[in-house]
Amino acid sequence: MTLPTIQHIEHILFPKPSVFHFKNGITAYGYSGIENDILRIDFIFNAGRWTEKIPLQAEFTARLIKSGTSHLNAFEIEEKIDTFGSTVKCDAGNNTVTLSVYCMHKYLDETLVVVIDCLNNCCYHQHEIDIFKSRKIANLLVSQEKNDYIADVLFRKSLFGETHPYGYETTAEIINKITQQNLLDYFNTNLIPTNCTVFIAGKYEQNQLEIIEKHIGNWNKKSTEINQVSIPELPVLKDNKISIKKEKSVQASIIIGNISIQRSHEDFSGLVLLNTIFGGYFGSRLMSNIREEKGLTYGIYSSLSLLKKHAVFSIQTDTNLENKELCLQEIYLEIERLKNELIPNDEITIARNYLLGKYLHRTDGAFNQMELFKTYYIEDVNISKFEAAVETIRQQDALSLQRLAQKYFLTDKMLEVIVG
Amino acid sequence: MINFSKEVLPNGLTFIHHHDETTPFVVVNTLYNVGSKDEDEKRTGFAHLFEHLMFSGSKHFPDFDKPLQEASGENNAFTNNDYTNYYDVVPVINIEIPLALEADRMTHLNINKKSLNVQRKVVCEEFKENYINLPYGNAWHLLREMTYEKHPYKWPTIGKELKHVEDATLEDVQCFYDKYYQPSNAILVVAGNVSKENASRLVTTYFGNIEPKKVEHKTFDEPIQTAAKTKTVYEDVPLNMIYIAFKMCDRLHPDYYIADLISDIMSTGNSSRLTQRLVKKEKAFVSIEAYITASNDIGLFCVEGKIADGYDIEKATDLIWQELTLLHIEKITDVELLKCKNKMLTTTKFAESNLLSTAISLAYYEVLGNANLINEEEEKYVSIVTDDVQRYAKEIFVKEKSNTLFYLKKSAT
Repeated sequence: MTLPTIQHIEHILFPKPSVFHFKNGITAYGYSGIENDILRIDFIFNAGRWTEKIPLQAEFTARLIKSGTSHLNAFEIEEKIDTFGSTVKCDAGNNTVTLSVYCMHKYLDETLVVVIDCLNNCCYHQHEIDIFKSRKIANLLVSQEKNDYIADVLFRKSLFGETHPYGYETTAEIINKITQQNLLDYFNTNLIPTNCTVFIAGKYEQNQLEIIEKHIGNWNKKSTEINQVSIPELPVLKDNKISIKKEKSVQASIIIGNISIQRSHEDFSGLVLLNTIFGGYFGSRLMSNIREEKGLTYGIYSSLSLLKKHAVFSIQTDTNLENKELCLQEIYLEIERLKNELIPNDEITIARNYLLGKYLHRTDGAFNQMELFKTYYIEDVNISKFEAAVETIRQQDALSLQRLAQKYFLTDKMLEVIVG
Repeated sequence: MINFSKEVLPNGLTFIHHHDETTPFVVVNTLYNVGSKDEDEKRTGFAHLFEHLMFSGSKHFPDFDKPLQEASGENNAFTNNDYTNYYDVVPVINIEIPLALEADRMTHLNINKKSLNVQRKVVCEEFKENYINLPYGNAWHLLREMTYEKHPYKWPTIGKELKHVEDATLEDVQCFYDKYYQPSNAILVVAGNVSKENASRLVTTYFGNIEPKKVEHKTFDEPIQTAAKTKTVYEDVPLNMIYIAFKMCDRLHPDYYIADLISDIMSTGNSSRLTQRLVKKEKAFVSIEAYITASNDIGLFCVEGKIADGYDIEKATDLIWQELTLLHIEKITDVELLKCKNKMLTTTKFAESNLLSTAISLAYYEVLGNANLINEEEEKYVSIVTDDVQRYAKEIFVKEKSNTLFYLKKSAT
């Protein structure tokens, strides 16, 4: 038996979304084509951690958006949403505040009535804030028992600085400090139509669009304050290696990484391919060597995570405690190999084809299309760059990848955190 | 509504096809009817370890992952108590690649010392990462052991202990492979942008020549529980936790859907009973949920909650019992019933738009006995009335049939 010839993906075309302009100034983008009568609607606010004046302000404001309005209390809001079979989630990340609605067509109208009421009139009742705080502190206590959580906190803290929006550590103290006024301030300044873009995916026709426009287009909350924030400069790394011993640990969590480049940078797409080869998929060098050859870990990955104002390259794993040093040594060895030796062409082909399969998947169906479009939108990169990114990945060769490794995989600038 | 067709090849392989013309992809999903319940009690964790070994390459193709990745594909697998499932997703232009690879590893797996040695270590690290080095990580080890008396559901898929995984031998591997990895014990789903005729022709080409072999399946008994069981452990955890488990019906029993709906009434959605009453009103718990294990045989209905710091454990336990016995005396409201049904409808409609999840579901329902359950379950759930809930709650939420695990912090001693 021989393997059939492998075909290569020829074209990856990304369809443009439909664009709608509502009378309150909101722009909505839409992808349709799902067979079932369902919709996902995302309200994306240009906010998140980087617009906070007080730590955790964004997360608390987002997570408590259903805590009651002048018309409905928290229970009534949740009960209505549950009765419609809908889901309404709101959360804040580093880059945005996102409110997502999942619903069936037949409850679209009623669900949006509740959502817009929350966005217009959320009162942030003290009682609901208190419950949320105690649950948050309880979850924090559990997280603080996990090595990977502790490693991540130390990594971000050292990389960005303790007061930086991406770097601060969540503590019971800062949770307790948050006040109702902090949340109302963030809500009134950030969660307003002029700071919001809407993304609609699933199945829709004229009827659904009219309902969406009726609710979202008539949402007229205004802010008197202009959001101004200043983000601290990144610190100079004081200590490149941080190691915390934990009694009774049977594994160590390792994170190694540095500040990297964003999507708008000309080297970005090449670096994505290099990262794939290094630690971005199951067939990567880190996985092949440290898991599949040596059995030191269940999994080891490297990734590029994109933040609004920065990007981070990092390698993460939980490794067998006795062989922690061997694991570290092999990680650095794999970095050096990429800088000193040319990657064989067949290895590049496998990783490139794998990556192109991932990119093709991002264009498959309304929900994936919307995810991809949203990612570019949030990062402020024109979606037309997607097809260019695919082309750049196709054009990489052993020499260009080696050059990227030499330029970006700088071990003396990397931070290493070990907990265990 | 999911369209599909089914045929059984002469060697016993069940082949299911689902057509979706909107996608450039195809999913090849192979489910083997073998899980951790088929293991020997003294050598647990084996079905899952074996799943890792299925990626060791086969006679004609020394590497499984590489050709799939080169074919722009993605693949993975998972094992549970009942079955082992392997999936490959590739652009439809490369449909033959996963078919060739899956057919070859169904009959000619490259069983060798080196990959057994490495994967034993990898699985031990997986065991440590998810069940030892994590707060409450071994809770389900304890709960299963306490709840099941005879049924092999009494150990988890990862294995009872690390030593069982470390002790696995090459003979065990060969024997397990010969016994369970046979066409008649597999369900192959091809889902995506390929016509039924083409899919059927290709499946026959690649799998048609595999020799048939009969696979025997054991059935398992489990006595009816007549006395309440309790276990208390003290560990380095930040909060006290309580787990209460009840045995329930099997997956194909009509009451299964009632148990599912009860768990939804208790904790699905923020307006659900446990969340509203015990977390938000009483502040006894910081989180609490009810869920079912959905096992093929006798499943478990479980309530687990993290008790608020300083709240009395006994009082918290009583509160859970109050909620369970309330279902005996008071009927649930029409609004609660409507909530659960609408939630289920929305969830189903979203799941149907995902090709991989559809392919896995088709294989799963077929191993239960009827792939068309994928379309029939909605009706079974929607037809539940409030009397059903009361009847079944009375049957299972009984003190004598309960199994309670108190997972407490050490400082509380």
